[in-house]
Amino acid sequence: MVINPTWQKIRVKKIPPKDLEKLIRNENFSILDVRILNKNGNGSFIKGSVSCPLVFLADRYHEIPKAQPIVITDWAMKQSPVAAKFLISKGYSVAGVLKGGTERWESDKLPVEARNPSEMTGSHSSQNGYTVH
Amino acid sequence: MQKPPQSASSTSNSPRKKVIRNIFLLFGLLFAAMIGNTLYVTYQGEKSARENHYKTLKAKLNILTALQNNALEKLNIVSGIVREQNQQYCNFLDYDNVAAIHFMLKSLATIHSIDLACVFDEYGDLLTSYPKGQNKINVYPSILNDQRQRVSVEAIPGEMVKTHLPELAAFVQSPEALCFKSVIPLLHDTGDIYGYVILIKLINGNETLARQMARIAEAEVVYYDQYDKVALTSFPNRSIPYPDQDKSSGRWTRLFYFPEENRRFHRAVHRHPCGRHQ
Repeated sequence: MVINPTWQKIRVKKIPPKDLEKLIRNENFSILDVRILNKNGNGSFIKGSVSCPLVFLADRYHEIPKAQPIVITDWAMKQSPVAAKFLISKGYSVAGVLKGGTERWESDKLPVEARNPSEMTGSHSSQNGYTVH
Repeated sequence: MQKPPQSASSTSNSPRKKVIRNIFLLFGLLFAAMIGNTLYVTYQGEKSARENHYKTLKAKLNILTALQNNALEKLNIVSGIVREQNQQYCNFLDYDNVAAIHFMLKSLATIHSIDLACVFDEYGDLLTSYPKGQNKINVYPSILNDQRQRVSVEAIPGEMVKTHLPELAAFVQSPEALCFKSVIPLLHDTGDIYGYVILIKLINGNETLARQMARIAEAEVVYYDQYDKVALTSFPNRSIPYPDQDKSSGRWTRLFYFPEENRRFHRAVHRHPCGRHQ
């Protein structure tokens, strides 16, 4: 992925955790987590989220279903805006990114599930790291 | 027969008369030369005085411009502090921690004598400001029409001054107030603009600046805004009518100059583009 001026113009909505929780409750959304997976990383993920590290997204994005709008997250909203812009440019319906990332989601005491990042990058993940839970 | 003596006397009178006439003529010429010389010297003197006065005016205007630039530079330094705190602002924005941002603005404004500090989100909606507004107003987007990073002299809606700085509202006689304004975009780690910090130091009612300008330039200073109303003056009486003659284009803010040594009306025009170009 290359950041270009066109990307800079794409606006990505930042959804605060409380609003996202309401959205998830009322509508169908796919939650895509694009954080880098490493064994020292935090293992808290939003329940029902799909993990695909940003580095693999360019190769694997076509595996993401286009039927539902997507909300993108990561640990601290460092990679999710880039992923959102990439998917928007590929024609995906991106509802927004989680403001503050999963770190804020967790600090707001919203439901998370523990996963082992090292396992996700190993046997439990698919060849290119796109992992569905 | 001898000629009558009458004719002899007329011949003896004629050279005398001639001499007297010549003397009058010479005196006349002398007076004319003196008057001419006096007029010439007066004209030259006035011309030289005018030129000298113009040069003094110009020099004083340069001093005022330098003082204005100095005020802009001060604001630029404060803007540098905000740019250094960019990450902190972004972190607080990530968590919608408006209270923390308000506290940061309060510290900044108090320490550096900023009249008004605001933080806007990326869409141009006001998140918080110091001091906080007394009423809800919808003029904020107008101060973010131009989102480029800059420090300049601009006009802001007078309504903002009334809402945020009611103690200075008396100094705003027009729909807009003049100010030193800094726009600082907040950059997220991803390179996107995440919000804007706007710092405002009002020119209207900025008596410290007026006093400083008057003291250093040894002159009384009047700032007129684009509505020809007094924005700032070092005169005790603020109701100084705008001099009508030789009006220049309405898109410029003018800076007039009144010399202190004699209170005769003099002026020079200093132009700088105002924020609202029409």
